[in-house]
Amino acid sequence: MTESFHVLVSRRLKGAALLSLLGAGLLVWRLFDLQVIRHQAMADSGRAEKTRNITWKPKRGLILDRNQRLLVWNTEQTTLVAGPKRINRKPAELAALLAPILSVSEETLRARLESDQVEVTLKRSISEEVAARVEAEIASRSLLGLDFRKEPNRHYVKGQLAGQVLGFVNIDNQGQAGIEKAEESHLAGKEIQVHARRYNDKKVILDLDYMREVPLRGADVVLTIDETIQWIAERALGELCAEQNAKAGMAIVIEPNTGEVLALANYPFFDPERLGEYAASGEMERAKNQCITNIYEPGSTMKPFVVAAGLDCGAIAPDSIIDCEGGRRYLPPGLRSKPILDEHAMGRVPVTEVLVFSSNVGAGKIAEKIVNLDPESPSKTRFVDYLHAFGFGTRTGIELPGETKGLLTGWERWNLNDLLVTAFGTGPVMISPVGLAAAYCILANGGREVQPHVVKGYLANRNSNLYPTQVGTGRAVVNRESARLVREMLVQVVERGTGTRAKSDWYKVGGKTGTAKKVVNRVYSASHRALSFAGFAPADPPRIVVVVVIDEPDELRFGGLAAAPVFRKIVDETLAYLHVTPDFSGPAPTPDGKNVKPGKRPAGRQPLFPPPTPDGDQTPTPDKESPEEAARVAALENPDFALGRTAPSRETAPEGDRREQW
Amino acid sequence: MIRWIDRMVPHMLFCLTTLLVLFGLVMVYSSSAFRDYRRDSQKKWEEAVELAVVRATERPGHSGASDPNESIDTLREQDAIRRASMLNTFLKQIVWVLLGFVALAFAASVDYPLWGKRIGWLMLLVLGLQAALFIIPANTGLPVQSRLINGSRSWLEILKFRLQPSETAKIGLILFSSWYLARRVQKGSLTLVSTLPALPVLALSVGLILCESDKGVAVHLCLSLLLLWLLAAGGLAQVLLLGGLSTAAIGAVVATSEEARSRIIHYFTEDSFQMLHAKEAFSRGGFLGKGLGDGDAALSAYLFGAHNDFIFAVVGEELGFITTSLLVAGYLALVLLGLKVAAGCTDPFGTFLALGITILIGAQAFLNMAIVTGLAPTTGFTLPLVSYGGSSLTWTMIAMGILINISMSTHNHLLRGVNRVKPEPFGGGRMVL
Repeated sequence: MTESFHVLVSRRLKGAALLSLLGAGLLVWRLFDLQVIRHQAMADSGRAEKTRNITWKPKRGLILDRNQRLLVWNTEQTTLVAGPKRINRKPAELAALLAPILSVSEETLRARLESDQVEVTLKRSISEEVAARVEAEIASRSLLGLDFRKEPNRHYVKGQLAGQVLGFVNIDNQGQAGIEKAEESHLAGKEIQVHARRYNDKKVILDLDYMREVPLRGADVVLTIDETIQWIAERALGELCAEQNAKAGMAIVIEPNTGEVLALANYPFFDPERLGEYAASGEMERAKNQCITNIYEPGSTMKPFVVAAGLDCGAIAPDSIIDCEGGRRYLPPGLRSKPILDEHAMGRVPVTEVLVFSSNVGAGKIAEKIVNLDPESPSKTRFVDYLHAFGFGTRTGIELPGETKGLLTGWERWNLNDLLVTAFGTGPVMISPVGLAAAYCILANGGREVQPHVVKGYLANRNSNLYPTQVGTGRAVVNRESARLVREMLVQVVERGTGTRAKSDWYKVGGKTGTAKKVVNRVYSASHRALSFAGFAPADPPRIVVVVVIDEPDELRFGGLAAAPVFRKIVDETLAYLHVTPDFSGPAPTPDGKNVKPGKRPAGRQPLFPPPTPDGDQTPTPDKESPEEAARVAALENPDFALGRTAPSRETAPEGDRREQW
Repeated sequence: MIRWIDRMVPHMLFCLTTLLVLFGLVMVYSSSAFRDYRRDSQKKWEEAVELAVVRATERPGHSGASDPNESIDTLREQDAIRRASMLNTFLKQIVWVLLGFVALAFAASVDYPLWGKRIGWLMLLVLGLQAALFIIPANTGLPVQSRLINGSRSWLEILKFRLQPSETAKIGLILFSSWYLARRVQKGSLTLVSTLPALPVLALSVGLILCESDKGVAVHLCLSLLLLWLLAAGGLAQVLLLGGLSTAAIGAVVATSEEARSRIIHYFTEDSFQMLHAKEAFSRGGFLGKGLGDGDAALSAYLFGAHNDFIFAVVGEELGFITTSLLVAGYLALVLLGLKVAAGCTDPFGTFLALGITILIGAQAFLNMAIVTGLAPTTGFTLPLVSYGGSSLTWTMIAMGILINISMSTHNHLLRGVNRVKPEPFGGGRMVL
């Protein structure tokens, strides 16, 4: 009965040691089961059955103008979905109930509700009103199995502003046109795969890789387009096109040194959010970016290139005398039956006059001189190479989709007539307005080729630095001096030639009119015309190149009449907006106090786009919800608003008065 | 001739403790770094991801997630700040480990019979602290306050320094029990009746712990005391009495607490989400593991307490079966060494104390591992010496210090040599079986 404590305890402690050994053994067995046996089972059994990859699409990037003002924004659309297994009414009954509300046919709805899928889409992108009505039905009849889902959608903040440039997305939020399509890869961002597993058919467990790879949001695209200049261009173009009932109108404002497109306006205008209405009324043509997709005969806007080429290769000198043959040149029979005619008959005149009064005969002569530069071996190639270098017969390579290649084909088989008509921009040569703008940039910037582009750069998010697009510098097409001489001649065109309607009260501008008859049913039509004006401002050094094309206006028959006033409006307002020092003092003040002189501006060249100052941008910010939206509303109400206080108010000056003044 | 292995017991105890603590540091960093990193916006993450997943799984082929990006943007902006916070838990644990070693050194240098001599004061302190938890108002923001966290009132905060009275109670009750049992032995009677006077003290302390709603500690303490008394006195009556009381206490908790009931039900029917993840983590780990820091469990939002209560699952996933079984072996070695110390001590107080401490730490370790591997119902236990947690680590280190002191003491015949000095016969004591 009595035992030594030590012996007793040590025996019991042996029991305890045995107990702990047992416990440890049990644990190790359990661990072996979990970690070795089940690990193998986990690897062998289809773990894939339980898992699935979920594609996680990041939010689409925004589109901003060059000053990072918002153009396109993300919103949500509502989609009505149904779970066919969860609905508590017969499919036919539910279809009959919902069909009138959703305006979807009863059969379609019934077929969807009878499918054996887990969930079917009844209608996407329903309006709030419809959603409210469906909700009321759900509440009043206590329906089950109907759900609303939110899906991402795009909101074009500025309505129709630059609609064709921005493009639109389809119902799956994928870009279909314009920048939305061209920059799809940047805007859509990087999709990531999230690995998920399911347990007991209800619980979802994520694999945790998503923690390490943060999904990228689509990059914001910053355009070279300036919202205000775009608005200026659209307003000037829209006014004239509406007045003239033109079939189409195009205006491009481009920076000649960099090729940055500041505005790209197309009439009729296109509001991406009203795509459905356009589709219903057969107006889908509106979505086309005609500055890029349409090609026209350049008409007389071609002549400055011919002159520049002649000066560059030495075929003519600035003081050369060209024989315009009294504005009427007959070609040998067999080449051409009718003579080549000039509007303004001239005899032997300096080169400048050929441009100033737009002599077709003179332009043809210069082209001939280029071809016959070396009398031993006349070479059409020399002339055509210049045209190629100016961008005829090529694409500019602008980022926007659907660019049409200019036309310059079959030149190997050209006869004399073909050469002469090419020299004044008809016949076998065609170019898109954006191509023409790029070609004028070459004249404006001193002879260097530029790449027109609309994307300035990308932003990873709203706080990051701009990651600019890389645009290479082009090769020289003509020498600086030739380009300068042609610019001077083009200034003369506006001063006293065919382009006087482009003359500005504020800025010295240069440009050339163009009138091309369109080919209708394989013959040149007298009534279908594409009128154009291409020019630059101010004269030296040019800050912007503007091309305006009016397609088939009702009354006006010449580029100088239709397109030149639009050019003038765009130049005046844009340069004022850019704070370019005026060359002239402007029109005389009218008795009602308008047309006052602008305030004194600091002399010298200023940055094209001064950085926004803390106390406000160019445009004052009215007290509205969104500054951009408010500015747009205000600008529509008051045309001078967007131009700042110093904008020249040309609307008040009657046409006749101004004519006399100059 | 004294065996070298017997002489090495204190050293082995110290080395084992150090190894476990250092291993714990590594695991705490591995399991807490990423959790710290994303803690700020964890909730946003959860919501964003849940939303995306729910949408994507409900509608095959379509992902309508647009909202998550907002939180993702925020997340990226705060990235730099949170990178710095990755070390938060780890650095705190380092401070606790250093404090723990100081505590161990202190406990190892105090001659252990002193604890028995001052047992009255000690118990007063233990019960006083426990009572203070309820006397001092909770969450007042004053320099001295008790904290009510997740419905359990178990923290005493003195000038930002947090103390868990239930942890002091553990070591206190073991000291008290050993002292009491040793006294009974010395008086020559260890009967059911003679143990009764100890019950009110034990019941009071355990009752207070239950009032704190610290069920894990209560269960652990009851089990440890039961084992100690079983091994010390071994009488069937005592076992039944203590077992009955403990069962009644646990039953009362289960009956009153919805949460405890659901945990028990979960254990017998279907794994809880947390358990599912713990088991998954073990299985993912396999034999060799996925590698330190490569485990998913540490990142998983569903495995709560990956750096404290469920750290064993992280070990299992990242270091595999080879390390988990080694860890089990480590705790087994600790228990066997502790039992050896107990067996080697000629002083009943030292024997019971060594036994109590061994049971306390061993039971906690084995219970925690059993819980995490799904062998026992889920209760909030830390893995001693390895898990994150200052209070628990400090008291475990003090207990280890006392154990080392006993193994080094003059009463321990292992050190004095069996051959030279015969073990003193038990001082006339009688054991009643």
